[in-house]
Amino acid sequence: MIITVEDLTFYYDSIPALRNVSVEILSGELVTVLGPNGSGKTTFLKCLCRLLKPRAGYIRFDGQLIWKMKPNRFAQLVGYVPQIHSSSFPYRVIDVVASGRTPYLSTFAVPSKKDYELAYQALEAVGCQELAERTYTQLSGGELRLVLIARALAQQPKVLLLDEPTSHLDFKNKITVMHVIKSLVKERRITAIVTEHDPNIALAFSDKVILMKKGRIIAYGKPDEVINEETMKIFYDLDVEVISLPNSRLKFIIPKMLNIQ
Amino acid sequence: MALTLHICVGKYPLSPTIIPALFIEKLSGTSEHALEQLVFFDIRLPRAVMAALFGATMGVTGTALQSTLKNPLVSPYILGMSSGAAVGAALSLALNFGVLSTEVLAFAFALLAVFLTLIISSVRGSLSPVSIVLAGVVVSALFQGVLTIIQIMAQPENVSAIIGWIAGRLNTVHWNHVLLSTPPALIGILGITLLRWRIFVLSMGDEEAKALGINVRRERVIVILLASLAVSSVVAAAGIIGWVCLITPHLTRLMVGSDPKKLLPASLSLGAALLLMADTLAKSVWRYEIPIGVVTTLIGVPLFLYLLRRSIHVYGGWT
Repeated sequence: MIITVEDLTFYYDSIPALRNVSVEILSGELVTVLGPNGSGKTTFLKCLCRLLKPRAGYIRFDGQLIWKMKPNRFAQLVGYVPQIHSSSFPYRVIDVVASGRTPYLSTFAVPSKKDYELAYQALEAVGCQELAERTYTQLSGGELRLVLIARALAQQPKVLLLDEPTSHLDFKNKITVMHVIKSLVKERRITAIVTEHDPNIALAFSDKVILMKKGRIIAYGKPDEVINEETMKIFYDLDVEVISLPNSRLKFIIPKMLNIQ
Repeated sequence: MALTLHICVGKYPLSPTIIPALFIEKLSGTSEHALEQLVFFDIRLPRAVMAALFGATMGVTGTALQSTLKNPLVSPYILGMSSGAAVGAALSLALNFGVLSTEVLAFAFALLAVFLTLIISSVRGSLSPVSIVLAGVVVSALFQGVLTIIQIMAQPENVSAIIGWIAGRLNTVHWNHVLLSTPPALIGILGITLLRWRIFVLSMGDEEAKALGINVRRERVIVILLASLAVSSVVAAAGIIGWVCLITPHLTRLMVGSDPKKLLPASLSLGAALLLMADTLAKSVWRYEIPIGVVTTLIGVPLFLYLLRRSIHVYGGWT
């Protein structure tokens, strides 16, 4: 599914958060939106999943305006994974994942056995099937994030929108979560749009990177084209060095001020 | 079982074995046990039905509202219904309006209070859970104030009637009450039970429910209106019996877990059973009848503290 964004503008009361954002995102790609706090990347993501209604501009999925779609239909196309989740009730993990089936259920229905099977498969896809019967208020941060991804997968979406999926996770869990997202994109040919703070994660996992600053898109393209010495200088006002590993396509950036002995 | 016990216990003890015979006699028109028939059909049965209906309503609506408003400390009364009902009843009692007008006014004012709560929270708070709870507290306070004014201005003998009404009672329940309360209560209970999956999804939070294709504002208001309809109708008949609505959801979660498919049906039966048992105590432990509202409070408070202590660690964000 091709996502087209045209002249997207959003204000929080009178404070502009997005200004004339235009971009086209191709299907089957993992796109990372990189930007400092307050750059508008979360606002951008929330506009894409209709949680925020833009002041002006259009968002089209395969040419169709998203605000013209029925809420159920839209939720069958787009799965959203929030950054923070707090629940007051100790539900079972499998029930939480099954709530991803809601857009396919009529108003008075409860999920069928088939829906629970799909929920279980979604848990398997993120490698968390052993969590099914656990109480989800007692999960660790990394487990919770994967369970929420599984719930979005149970929606069988064409697009996954993830708000800072690596925030507050430890070193290994960051990699695990990004790895799961990457393999879902490759295996299921879905589009994933991810907001992120760490340029190195963006370099390692994304197909495309969007650089945002002060509500505008500064650069959009392949990771190593977008993340380099020049852009990091303009973007973060930081001198960095790009390191390429021998025998690998992996690249890393290292801030030069780490060289202080 | 709780129902049978409730019916048989009282000033005039009935043996459970006599009940089938009473039904047969009633149907065939004979009156071998005239006194037992009177006690059973005109006193015990309506009271038991009302107790069960009240308990079931409070169990279901309490659980549904806690989920819908994402708050394990919410009860239907927090929306202003109890103070609204009290003002309605007090008006009628103070002005001596007469039979059943008390119930009708209590019902109307309880709904009025909920509407006020919803209107206030929709103006600036866009019907978010927090704004609904806050608006409910404000509306409750407003009606409490009005209630005090009515009590000050009313005749002394009417004041005691008002206080008695507020405390909640089941001993004056007639079939009339049952017939008036049952239809709205059943509509509310049935609607909420059918919506149980939606209510579960609402408890995940506004953004997530929206992302799952739910019209959050609309569905939250529907749940609140269904709950208010049911609660107002039973409160109008029996007064403000507290704590069942707060205890039942927690006890149910302890017993069946938080399974979103079983939670609401289970809270329905548990609520009914709890209130039947409480009312059995109310009419049997002392020479005089203790107001049922007093019994539920005396049992409810320590039980609630115990439940909260047991389960506090599983409520996210509380640790």
